[in-house]
Amino acid sequence: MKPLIVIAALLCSTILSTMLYQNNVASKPDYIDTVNIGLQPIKAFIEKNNSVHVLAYQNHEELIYITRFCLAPSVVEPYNSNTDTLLSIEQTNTPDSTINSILSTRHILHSYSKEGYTYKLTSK
Amino acid sequence: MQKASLYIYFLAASVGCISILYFLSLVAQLPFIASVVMILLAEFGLVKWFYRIKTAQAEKANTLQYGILIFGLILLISNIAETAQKHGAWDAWAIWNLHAKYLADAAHWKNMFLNTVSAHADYPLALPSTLAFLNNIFPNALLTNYSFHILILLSIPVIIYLQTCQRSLLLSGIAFLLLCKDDFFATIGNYQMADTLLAFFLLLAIIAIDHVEEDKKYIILSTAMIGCCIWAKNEGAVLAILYTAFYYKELLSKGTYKYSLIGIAIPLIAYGIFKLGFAPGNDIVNTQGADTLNKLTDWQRYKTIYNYWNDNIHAHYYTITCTIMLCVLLGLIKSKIPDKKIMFILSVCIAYSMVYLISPHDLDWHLKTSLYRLIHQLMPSAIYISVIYLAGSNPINFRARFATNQQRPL
Repeated sequence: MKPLIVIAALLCSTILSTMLYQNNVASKPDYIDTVNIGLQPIKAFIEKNNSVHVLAYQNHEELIYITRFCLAPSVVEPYNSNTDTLLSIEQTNTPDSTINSILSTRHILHSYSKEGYTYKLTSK
Repeated sequence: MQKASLYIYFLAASVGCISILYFLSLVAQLPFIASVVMILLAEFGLVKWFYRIKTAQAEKANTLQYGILIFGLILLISNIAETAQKHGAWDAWAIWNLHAKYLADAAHWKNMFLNTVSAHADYPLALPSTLAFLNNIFPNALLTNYSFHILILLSIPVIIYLQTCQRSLLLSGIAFLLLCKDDFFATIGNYQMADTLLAFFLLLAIIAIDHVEEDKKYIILSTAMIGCCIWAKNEGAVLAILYTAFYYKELLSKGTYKYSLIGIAIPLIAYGIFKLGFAPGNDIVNTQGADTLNKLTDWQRYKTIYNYWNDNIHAHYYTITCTIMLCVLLGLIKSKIPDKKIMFILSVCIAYSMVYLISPHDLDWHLKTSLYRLIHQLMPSAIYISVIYLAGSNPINFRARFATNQQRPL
C-alpha cells in the first residue's frame, strides 16, 4: 500500500478524533476541572518547592489525588499526624466534623469557598 | 516489510528517542532548548537510518484494500468518540499525566519522587517523558496528550493490517475490522495510560523479528522496541526476559548479538539510570519474603486468578482467545508443538499470573483493576500472530500433512 495514503489516513483520523474530543468532551467541565478552579487561589500560597498535606471530606481519596494532580509539581500527600501545612477540602453545605476537630488546634492561613467546596490552608 | 509500516516504526522509535533524551537532559540539568536540539539531531539521524532499511517491493494495492483501511479507521474513530474521557481514567491523571506534569518542570521534576502515598514513582517514563516534552512545546496539555494516545491507538490496527493484508486479505480484513469495531479496545485506548503504548511496542517487536531475514537492521528495531517495552512499564521487563528466552536463536547468535545489543542498549541505559538513580523500590518486589511461599501454595489464589482470567476473556476477549486456541490446536495437529509466537503469548499470560500470585495487594482488587489492561497489552500481538499463522496454514497442505501423519506406522 502507498505509504503516503496510509500515513495521511492515520494522521487525518487522529486529527478528526482530536477535533471530536475537543468539541464533545474537552469543552465540558468535569470534576477535575471543578477542583482545579477551586484550587487556583491556593496556588499562590504554595510554592513549587513546598509540600502540602490534604485532608478531604469523608476521607475522599479521589479528591486527594486530584488535588495532587492540580497542584503538581508541588508535593501533595494525604494528611497524617505530623502534617505541617494542611489543606482541607470540605463541602460548603455539609461541614465535616473530623476536619473541624483537626483544624481546631491549627492556625488558619487562608480560607475561602468556591465551586461548592470550602478550602482551608492551615499550619501547626 | 512494507514501506508504510516503517513510518509507524519511525513513530515508535521517535517516542523512545524523545522520552529517553528528554529524561537524560533533565538528569543532566540541560536547558529545554538543548534537549530540543538534541532530539532534533537524533530524529535526523533516525530518518537517515530508517532510509537505509531494506523494504519489500510494494505490491500494488487494490481499491478494496484501501476501502477496508478507511472503513476500519472510520469505525475506530466513532468508537473512540463514544468512549472518550476528558482526563482519562484514574491511573491516567493520578499516575501517567501527573508524572508528565512533574517532568515538564525541569526545575522541580524530582518532586515526583517525594510523593510517597500511591505515587507509583517507580513506573518507567516512556509515556510521561514524551508527554512532558510535547507539553513544553504545545501548551494545551489536554489536546496534546489525547492526540498522542489516539495516534498510538490508531497505529496498532493499521500496522497489523499493513503487515497481514498481503498474506490473506480476508483474514487480515476481518481481524482489522473486528479490532476497529471493538468497543473495549477503544475504551482502554481512551484511558490514556501506558498499556496501549506497551502493546504498540510489543507488537512492533514481534513484527520486526519476522523480517530479520530481509535485513539485520530489523533485529535492532526488534530489540529497541523490546527495550521501549521495559522503558514503558514495569511488566515490560517480564516481556523482555521471555522475549529473549523465546528468540535467543534469532537475537543472540554469533552474527546477530551485536545488533540486538545496539537496539536494546539505549532504552536499557535510560531504564538503569532511572531505576538506580531515582525510582523508589517496586511495591511487589520489595514486599517479597517468607510470605511468598505461603502465597505460592495457597490454591485458592490460583482459583481466583483463573476465575478472573476466565471472566475477562468471556467478557472482552472471547474471539481472540478462541482464535489463539484454534492456532494452538492446529499447531499440535501439524507439528506436535504450537507455534513459537503463540507459545510466547501464552507464557506471558502465565508470567503475569505468577505476579498476581505473589502480589502483596488484595488479590481481588489487584486483578479487578489491572488484569483487563494486561490482556489489552497482549491482544494486538495475539491478533497479528493468529492472522499470520492462519494465513500461513495452507488448508490443502495441512490436510495432506495430516493424512501423511495418519498413515505413518506407529
